[in-house]
Amino acid sequence: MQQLVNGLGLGGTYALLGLGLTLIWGVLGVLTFAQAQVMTWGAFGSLAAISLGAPASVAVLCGVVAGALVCMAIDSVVINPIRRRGGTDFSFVAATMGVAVALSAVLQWLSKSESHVFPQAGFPTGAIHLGEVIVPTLQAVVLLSGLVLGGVLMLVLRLTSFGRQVRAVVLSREVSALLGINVRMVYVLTSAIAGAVTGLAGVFLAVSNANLSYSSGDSLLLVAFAVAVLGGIGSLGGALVGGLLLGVAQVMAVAHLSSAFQQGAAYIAILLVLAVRPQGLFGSREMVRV
Amino acid sequence: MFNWVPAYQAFEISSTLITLLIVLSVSTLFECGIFSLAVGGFVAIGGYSAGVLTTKTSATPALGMMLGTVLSAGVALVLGLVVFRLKGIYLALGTFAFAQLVLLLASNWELTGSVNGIYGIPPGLGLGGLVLAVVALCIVLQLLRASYRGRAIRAIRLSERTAEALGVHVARYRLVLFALCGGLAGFAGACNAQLVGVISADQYGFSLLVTVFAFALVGGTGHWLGPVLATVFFTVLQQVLGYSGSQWEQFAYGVAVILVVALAPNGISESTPWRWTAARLGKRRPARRASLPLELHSPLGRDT
Amino acid sequence: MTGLLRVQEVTKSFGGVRALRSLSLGVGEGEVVGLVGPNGAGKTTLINVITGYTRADEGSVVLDDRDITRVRAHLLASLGLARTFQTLQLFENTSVLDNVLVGRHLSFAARRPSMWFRRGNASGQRELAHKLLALLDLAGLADQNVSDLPYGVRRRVEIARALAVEPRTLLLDEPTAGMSTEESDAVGELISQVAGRGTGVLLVDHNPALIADTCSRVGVLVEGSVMAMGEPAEVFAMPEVRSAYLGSEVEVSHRAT
Repeated sequence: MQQLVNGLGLGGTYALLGLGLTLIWGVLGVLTFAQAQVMTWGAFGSLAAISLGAPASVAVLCGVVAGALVCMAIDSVVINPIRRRGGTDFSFVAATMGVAVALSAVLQWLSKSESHVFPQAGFPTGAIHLGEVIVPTLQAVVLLSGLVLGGVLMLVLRLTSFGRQVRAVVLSREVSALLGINVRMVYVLTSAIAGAVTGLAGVFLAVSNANLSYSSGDSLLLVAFAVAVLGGIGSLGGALVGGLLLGVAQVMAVAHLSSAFQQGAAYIAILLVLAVRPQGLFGSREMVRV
Repeated sequence: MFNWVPAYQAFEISSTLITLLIVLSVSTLFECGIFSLAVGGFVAIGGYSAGVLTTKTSATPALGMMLGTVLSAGVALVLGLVVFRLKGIYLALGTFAFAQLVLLLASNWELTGSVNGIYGIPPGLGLGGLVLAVVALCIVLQLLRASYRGRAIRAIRLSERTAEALGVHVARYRLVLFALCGGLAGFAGACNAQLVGVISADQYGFSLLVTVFAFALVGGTGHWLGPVLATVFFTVLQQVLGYSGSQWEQFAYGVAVILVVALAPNGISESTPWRWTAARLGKRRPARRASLPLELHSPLGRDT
Repeated sequence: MTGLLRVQEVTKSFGGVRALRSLSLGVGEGEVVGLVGPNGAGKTTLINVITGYTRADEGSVVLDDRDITRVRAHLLASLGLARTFQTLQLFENTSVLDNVLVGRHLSFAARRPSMWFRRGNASGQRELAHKLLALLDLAGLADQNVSDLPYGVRRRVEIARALAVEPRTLLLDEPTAGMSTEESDAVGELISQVAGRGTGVLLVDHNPALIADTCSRVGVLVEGSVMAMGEPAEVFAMPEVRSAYLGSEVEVSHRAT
């Protein structure tokens, strides 16, 4: 039971990552390899705020904003120009890989290749006791924010006019443009939201590890992919469910099988899903198989 | 044969030749339209199997090389069977996950030295051997290029369904090519392990992928010579600028990939200057005035 | 129904749209069968079903007494089936000669000499390809990049490539679109000669003169089913056909022979 709770806590972070990636993949149609860097830059953004004396809540906000800005910048500087020149799926994969490496190099230089301590002061610490189960407060917060954000995003998609525009763009970029929808604005805003959510995940991660370096996010790139694939592209609900599932699966595997699965769970998950049901839990078939 | 080359230079050139082998394994797949991210995994399989074999048993380096090559090719074949049904992005994802899985396995298995990797690997091919290998590969690639199979491979990239309608067994070509290129990458990995003597999982990760992609993408899909020139150019450049090994080398490759994808997605070997030069240099047989057969005669009424 | 190619009661829907309704059609050896009809009638869908690009919902396709409904596309070429595409599918940024040589792929693989050209002249696949180019008046263009060529010429390259397969059954989807009358007539004559060698041809086109000159039978496809089938002169004279497709007063003139 404790494992389940731990898994759900981890799954909260994973779900946030998955939400960010799913948004970009579903709306912009890009499988971005740069998302780990968005995460790390977001975390560094909040670290910078803390070192300037900001309280925890402001620092989190800074992290979120940093993530949003980086993600929007990637869209404007790299993704959009390539899209305008007619990029193939692979063009975006390769280009975002290049972005990831370039951003990582810059961050490495800025952080002098060092690992930095991330102060936990001001963040939720301690734990809640539910019967025999211990729930670290931080994990509860992460899980809650993941679910709430996911829920809010789904509501926004369904109920607001912006959400309708987003759904229209997902269905057809050309038709949406003809209908007068500002597709560029939809892309920019979606990138901002995706970056914000990813930045938040980065902050949470840094807090729970009490530690941050330029390569902190790298191992989580594949986790984000795994969550998005598991849930099905473009499905926000799927990302939530996928994230939680993956978190639980990973914790269970580490507890019952071997600690190697700490990282391996995501990779295996991807391969399994692709081999058996590539469209994930909530995706549609036509988009996937040859 | 190359004993006159000073040791440091010999090492650098050997290293570059090995990189070239890896780059060609990727660019050949690009020519067929196969955009796989698995190359790091195959290089790792080659390096580790050669390393393990030659350090844990008394096998010769040559055997290590063979094992590395064959094992990678075999794994590539199996991976291909699993992921080739998937479209574009999912193929990229599946192959990426595979490569990461290989590295995870390597850094957690005692047989492969866990996090520490393997050291003390006995040397294998020297500079001479590597030069021979590269030359042999280029000859093979040129022969392939001029043959009907090469034409079929290029056709698959340009329009898979049309090629299939003309009788090309697309699935088989892709699988065989993938296995062969996987084997080539494994061979390069084995050579590298034997050249450096020490290997660990992190050298086969993301930065190798981006570096190789940078060279292969800039080189382009038109001719194997493109990636060769790109590799040589970049290697010389980073030696001259002195950024070898630093994070700025990686930064440069990252930017190079972005630029080439945005500006010249098919690389230099499909660019206009290249084609122009190739047309000038090529010895073209004059267009044959075919003597008309007796059964089917040209209805357009022109006599040849 | 005649022997070589038989389409039997094929039905195909896309979502709610019934593209083909229980369609049956036959092409015999050496026969040129025309297929006309308004755009959207299902002509290309039919060819896609025959060549395995799309799977029929119901019905079957038989080639040489062999059910090919579920056969993979690349195998169909080895059964002697070749097609051209309504929306040209050439290999871009590739030379004319290379495009045609891909059509010779199976011959290369089997090291099989040509079936159409007498041995003495046809020494080698390249010579063969050049002969094909000559047949379509593309002789001087062998090394040209197809992407740079005008539309009518590109059409001819695609025909040459289909012929390179030396097919026993040839499906032509609007092969003369964008061609001048002279080019069209020449292609028509080539089709007749190809049929004369025993190849069965299904010719989909909008050009009534071409159909009248080359086809022994023509079918009119309207909304997924064959409205009429018979000799061109008869069919084009039918009032239903005229109003449904040709418009009221259209003179179908034969080329004076």
